[in-house]
Amino acid sequence: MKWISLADREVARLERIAIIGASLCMLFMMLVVALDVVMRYLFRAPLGWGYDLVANFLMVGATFLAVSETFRRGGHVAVNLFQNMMRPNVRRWVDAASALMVIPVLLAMVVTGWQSTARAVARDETIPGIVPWPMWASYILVPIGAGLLMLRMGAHLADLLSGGKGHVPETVDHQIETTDPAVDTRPEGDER
Amino acid sequence: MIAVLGSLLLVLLLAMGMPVAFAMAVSGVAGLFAVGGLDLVMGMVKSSTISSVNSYELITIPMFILMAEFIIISRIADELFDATAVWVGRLPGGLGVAVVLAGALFGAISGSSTASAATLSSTALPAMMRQGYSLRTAGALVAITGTLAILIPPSIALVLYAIIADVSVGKLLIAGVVPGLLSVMALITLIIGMSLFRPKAVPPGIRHPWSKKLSVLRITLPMLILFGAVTGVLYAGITTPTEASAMGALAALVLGAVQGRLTLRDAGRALVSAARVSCMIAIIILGAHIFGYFFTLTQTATAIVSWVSGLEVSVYWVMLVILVIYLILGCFLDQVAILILTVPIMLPVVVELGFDPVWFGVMVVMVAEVGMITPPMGLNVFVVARYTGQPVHEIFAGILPFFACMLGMVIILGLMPEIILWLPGQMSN
Repeated sequence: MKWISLADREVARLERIAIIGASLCMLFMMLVVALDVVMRYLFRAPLGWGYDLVANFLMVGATFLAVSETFRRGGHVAVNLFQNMMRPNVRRWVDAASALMVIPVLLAMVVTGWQSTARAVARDETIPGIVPWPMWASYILVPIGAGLLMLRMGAHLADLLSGGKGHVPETVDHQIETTDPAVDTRPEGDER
Repeated sequence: MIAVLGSLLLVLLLAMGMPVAFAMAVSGVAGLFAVGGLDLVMGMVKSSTISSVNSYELITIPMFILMAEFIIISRIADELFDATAVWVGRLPGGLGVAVVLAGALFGAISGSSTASAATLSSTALPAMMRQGYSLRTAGALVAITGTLAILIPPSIALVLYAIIADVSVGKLLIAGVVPGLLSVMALITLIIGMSLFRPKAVPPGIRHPWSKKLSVLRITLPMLILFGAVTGVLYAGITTPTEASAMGALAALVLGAVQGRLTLRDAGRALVSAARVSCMIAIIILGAHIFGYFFTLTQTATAIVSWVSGLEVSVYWVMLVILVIYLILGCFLDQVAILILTVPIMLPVVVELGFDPVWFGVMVVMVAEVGMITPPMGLNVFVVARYTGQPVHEIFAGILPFFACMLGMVIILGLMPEIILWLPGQMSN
């Protein structure tokens, strides 16, 4: 199925951009909080805006921009005790059923997230604080992240229905591989 | 009735292997739909998605994870075992003692006892075998040492518990110190005892020269100081846990860079990897919010609390049952999943019965960790068995004395809550 692997590759491309965004959020979270501490204790002049920026934007970005790529890499913790006992064919259908059930929930997140964003833009909402950060820039991260995960779920479902293995959640073996630097030599995005 | 169906759906989805976060969100949404239709679902999803993630306290988790990633990627952690082996090597059972110390430190860094067990399987296990340790004892030691690590700050599990239970993050982190150190000491005493009475399984130690002792400190000492500083700052109440975690991450980054063990590329890899893990935890919290709202709406938690407090049995029996449940859950469930799934339901019961939430947090985390080495299911044992290619029952056979030691520790902490509560009680607020 050529179009399935094409879809998979295209979504993976978007995911790579998103995870870089999430990583930058992590980096700035660290820097802003640390700077805030230094300014407060050394110069008695706290930033004041650090708290709002970190909680409303960077934390939200770090979470939602990473969610789809984390799923693709099987990073969301699951109980795979029973899954490992299933025959591959049964397991494929069970995984497909799971994906099918998750998609409506993601759709709800995309729709409500988009509504919040649109309302914030229309009313010009800002965060109450020293710097009036625009609210929409925080809200929009939800439909972006959930939407990307929805695309990923669609590609995953199509892969499963056409006989593929889909994206397998984290297992004990996987943990061993990723904790031992000597073993984990795979290049980025090369786990399939 | 709807609450029961919702919970059954959750169990079914978990058994199907759906990621914990998604399973909670899906069953919560299905339950809310059954209670109040599409409007309720949309209203709840709208209000919960951002609000469950944009909390300042929650930032402690990604920052501690980031600190761990910087340290792990700069491979300082790999040298821990070498360093502890040189320092405590001359004690009876010295290498075993070194494994306990290295496991405690590594687990404190990585926050995952499974990761600790896997890493020590590849470094410490061969070293112990070479010195003549019996395989079952060596394997068992590697499997168990990670479990005590979860209590030593910075423990992600305790931060998560504090956030779910709405108690002070700093207090929880400090509460883990004494039980963590006591467990380490108990295990070390056991190994020294074994070495004296059963030298075949645990050989005597080897002496190392001082020059070697000092040279291994060059790499590990700065990291130990970093951990001490993070804990000290929290204890003294100088900064919030969030600030301490961000400063810790920054210090780990600088440390790795100064020692020439962390390139720009490595730092990037650490950021990506930390983003994934913290996303996984944050999304589970989001799923738990949705499911928790459904549970609150159907007044299930209140019903459970009034049922339990109406029971005609001693509160200590109820607590015993609760802890046994955690022991069983710990055998096959991830620590994060256990906390998120159970604490919102258990905590109101526990508080109603008159127990301290800080004490309960440490107990839950510790008991669930002991579950990871409990026969016949314990996950850590399977990790070590798979990594070493040894039969599982062989490792379980060796684990019994250590398991009994940890279980004894849990019983002591259960009977004497002051041991856990003393240090956080000394903190300035």
